[in-house]
Formats: sequence, C-alpha cells, structure tokens
Amino acid sequence: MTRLPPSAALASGLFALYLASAAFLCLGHAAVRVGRAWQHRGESPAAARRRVFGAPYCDAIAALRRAIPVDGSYVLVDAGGRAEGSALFVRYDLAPRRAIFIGRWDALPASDSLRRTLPRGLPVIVAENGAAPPRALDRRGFLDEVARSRPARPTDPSDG
Amino acid sequence: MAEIAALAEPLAALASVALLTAAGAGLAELVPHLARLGWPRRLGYGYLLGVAWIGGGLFALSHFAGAPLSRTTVVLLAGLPIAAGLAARWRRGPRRLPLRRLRPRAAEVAAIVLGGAVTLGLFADALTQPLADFDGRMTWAAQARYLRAAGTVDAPVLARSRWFVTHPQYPPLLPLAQVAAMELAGSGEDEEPFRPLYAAFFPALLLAVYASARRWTGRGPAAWTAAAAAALPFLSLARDGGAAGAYSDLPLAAFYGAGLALLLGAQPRAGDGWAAGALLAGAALAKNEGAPLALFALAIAAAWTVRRARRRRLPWREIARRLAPHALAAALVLAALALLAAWRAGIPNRFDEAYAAHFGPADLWPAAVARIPAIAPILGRRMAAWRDWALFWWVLPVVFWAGRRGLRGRPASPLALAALAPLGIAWAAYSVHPNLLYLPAVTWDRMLVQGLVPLLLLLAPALRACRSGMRSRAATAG
Repeated sequence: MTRLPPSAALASGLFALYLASAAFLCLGHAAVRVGRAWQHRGESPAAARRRVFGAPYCDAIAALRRAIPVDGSYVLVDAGGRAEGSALFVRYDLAPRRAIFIGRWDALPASDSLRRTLPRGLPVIVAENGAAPPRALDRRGFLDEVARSRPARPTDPSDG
Repeated sequence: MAEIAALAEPLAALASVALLTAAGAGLAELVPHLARLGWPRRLGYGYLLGVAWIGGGLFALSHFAGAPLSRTTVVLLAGLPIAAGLAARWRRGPRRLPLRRLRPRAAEVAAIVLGGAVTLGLFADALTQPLADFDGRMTWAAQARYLRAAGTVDAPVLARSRWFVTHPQYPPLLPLAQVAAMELAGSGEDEEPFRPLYAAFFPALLLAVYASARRWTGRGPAAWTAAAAAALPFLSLARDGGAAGAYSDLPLAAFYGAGLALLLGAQPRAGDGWAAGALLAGAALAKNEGAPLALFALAIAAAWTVRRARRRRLPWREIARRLAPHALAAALVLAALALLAAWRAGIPNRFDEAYAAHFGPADLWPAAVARIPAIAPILGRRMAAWRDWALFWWVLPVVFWAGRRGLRGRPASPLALAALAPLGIAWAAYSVHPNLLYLPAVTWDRMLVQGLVPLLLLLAPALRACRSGMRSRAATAG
C-alpha cells in the first residue's frame, strides 16, 4: 500500500474534482448549444433575430432601417431602465445610421428648452424598456408627448 | 436550394476565421521556433497572429495610407503572409515528426475532447444566435459597423462629437477584424459573420496555453492545464466577457499571455521577438488596458532575462544580445501605440469614463485602501460564483501550495506579476470610479480573464510537481 504526500494528494484530488464538475457544466452547455443550433439550422439571420429579440422589436427596427437611410441620422432618447442599455442596443441595430443622443426620458429638459435645442428635420427614436419595440416620433409629436408626460414648470428666466 | 443558401452565411463566417488563421500560420512559418511546433499549436498562434496582422494592418493602411476597408484590402493583406509562409515552408522542405510525438497521451486526449466539444458548442452558438451581449453591442460591434460603412478607420462619425458613439477612442483592432469578416462575407444588416471570430479565440487561447506550458513542463501537465482552461465555465459560457460574446477581454488575454510567454522562453530568438511583438501589439490595440499590460509584459520579460543572465555572470555584451528579441518586440508595441495615438488625436473623447484622467496619487489614495471593505466581498462573491468559475479559485491555491516546488527555477515571478497586473489596473479603476459597487460586480470576472494565461502557466509546473511528488513518494514506499 502506497502512502501519498497529503498535500499532493489533496491538490490532485481537488483538481480532479474541479475538472470533473466544471467539465460536466461546460459539456452540458455545449450539448445544449449544438442541439439548439441543429434545431435552428437553415434559419436566416433575420429569423434568428426575431426568435431571440421578439417579432415586435425586430419589425420596429426593420421599419426604422427602411425609414432612415444608411447614411442618415436620428435623435435618440432612452426611455428604458437605467442599466438596461435599451438605447445602446437600438443604436447598434440601426448603425451605421448616426445618432444624436439627447439623454434619458426622465431627465429631459423642460419642453420649451427642448424645443430650442432639439435638432430639426430628424426623426426622434424612443428606446423603450427591455424588449419593447422602439418608437419613432416626429419633432412635433415628440415635443407634445414630452409636454404631456410631465407637469408644467415655472418658466426659467435663463431660457430667454 | 433554400437550405444551401442558408448555409452561405455560416460558411462565409467560418471562411473568415480560416483566412485569418491561414495568414497568421503564414507568419508563424517565418518564426523558426513556431514553425517547428506541431500543427495544432501552430494554428493557435496562427489565429492570434492572423488577427493581429489583419486588424493591425487594416488600421495602419487605412489611417496612414487611406487604404479602403474593403474585401480586396483584406485579401491582399492576408495573401502576403500566406505566400511568404508557403515559400518558407517550400524552402525548408517536408518535415517528419517522430511517431511518438504524434501519439496523444491520456491527458492530451482529455484536453482535446473537452476543448473540442466546448469549441464546437461555441461555434454552433456563434453561427445560429445573434449577438446579444452588452458591451459587444454597445461598443465593439457598433464601432465595426461605423468603420465598415465609412470604409476608413477615421470614420467621420467618430470625429464629430455631436454623434452618439460610446468610447470612440477604444482601440479598434477587434472592430477591424469584424470589418474584415463582414467584408469577406459581404454581410447585410442582420448578419453578424464576425461572431465566430470571438469563438475562435477560445481554442486559440487553449492552444497557446498548451504550447507555452509544454515548453516548461512537458506534455502531461500542459495538457491538464489546457483541460483546466477548457473547463473554465466563464470562458465559454459568459456572454458578457467570454468567447460567446463580442467583448475584447478574451482576445486581450490571449494576446497578452501568448506574447509574454514567447519572451519568457529559454532563449528567445529574433523570430520570437517579432512574434511576441505582434501579439503584444495586438494586446495594445485590443483594449484600453492592453497598452499598459503590453508595456508591463515587455518590462518584466526584459527584467527576467537580465536577472537570469546576471546570475550566470554573463558579460553585458551577451546580456544585450539576449535582449535583442525584447527590443524587436518593444519596437512593434511602440509602433502600435504610436498608431493608436495618431488615430485618437482626431477623435474627441465622449461617453467614456476617461479613467486615465483620474489616476493621480490624490485620486487613488486613500480610496484604494478605504474602499477595500466594500469591494472585497463583491470580488469574493464573483470568484465563488459556481456558474462562472466552478471550484477554480478554491482549488488553485491548494495546487500552488502543494506544487510550490515546481515553480522554482521557472519564470514564476514574472508570470505571477503578469497575472496580477490586470487586477492592479482593476483595483485602480475601482478606487476612482464614482459607482463603488457597480463596476467591480460587472468587470472583475473579465479582469481575471485578462491575467488568466500567465496564471495557467504557473498552474502547469505546480501540477507537475504534485504528480512527481506523488510518484516519488509512491516509489519510495514501494
């Protein structure tokens, strides 16, 4: 009967335990991935996006891509949750169209001030919460909606 | 017919991985030490060198010469090293490996099966699932779309601050590799043929770890180490930072670790210096942390070489000769950094944390210490997360302790420093970031990944020492 050095035996045993457990985890996921790929073989990229991000979101992105030329621009507002990245993902899906980001919906300036600074002639795209589709508004519609969504504030003299 | 058409996109995506690998394999043929390796290890280095060459080449040609980011430029860039590699191989003549080197051992079979299966899963995912991570869509893939549409690395959308571009000054190596893949595939708006590029970094990292560890410890421990890396859940499962997404941390880890390991070899030659320089330049152009890490790698590798030579009482002339490969590597890294600085000069920074501006002593002190009680539990929880790391961080200290004899006489200290360097950068960022709890929770895993290759290269000799300790004790007892 051989007696192993305790430290080497412990280390080797723990390493084997790590390897077995982690390999089980990774191989399981690899099998799931291969199975899922087989299930969706032959699927077009557009169909894959609809499956993952939902039809309403993908339809809205497709409509925006048709409405804004590839070398065009738009104004972007983030109405999603703070850490959700909704505006970032909409921007990615619309790239290389250029975005002018005017901030989070709940931090937009008062409607009068916004009216002066909002770029003209560009559609305003509101990135919504989670998988909700982004909305496109024209300038007037956007300003009206902002005005409706918040209580009237006293006029700021510095706004001129 | 429709099924055949549907195969076109995945095949084009895989073809771009193959072209990058072929270009890098051509470069590897020009480096005697790499050309002597068996083909799997050569392919690992080949892929990394290929991404560095194509991405870095597109960057330099576009910025300095106004070359378009087009399929023609990519093919020409790839064709050059492929032709040079074929010519070098033809000149050398056929090479026969001894049969014993071709027969895999049990540990190697385990590593091949495990690494191969996980890689297969990653590619299956990359070819059928759209990109759904955070930073990939926020920064890297978005930047690639802007660059491709503009046909130049100096895209006007980056240069004018009115446009909403997050981190516009982030190094563009990986976005340019994405552009290469998209150009080769001729992809449309819904197609993401660059996804397999990120998946391919996983086997490339495993092969680079195996190749480097094998030089120091032999086949068995190197294979067990590669298997340990293949089994690390975070590398293959995490969308946000692993090979399943489009983050730059895993590529950075592979460039940084593989480049450093080449410089820490027994006696690096000029070819090793060039290859290491290309890999470390890749690290510098892959991510913001890459520049300090590449410079750090150069410094500790040079210090290690000098220290080893001084111990042997070699004359300074000989020491200078031994430092020549390091100088070649440094020249490439500095050229990459100069290119990056020249490109950044035309881009106003915005939508960026601009950490570098906050790294003064007054910013770091006393926050670096005062924040420990708040941050340490978060880091501990991340490292203990079963789905990301399994038992890895519990087992590692025990193996190092039991196998500490194996670390003697090897470049343990530079490897340990190299493994710790990304964590040092992370700690500095955590010390100055306004959101004390958010940043560590979302970045610590990725910083661990960045230092993983040197750490794994320490694991291999420790594992060998454990096994040899067991054997020698067993032999004595018998």
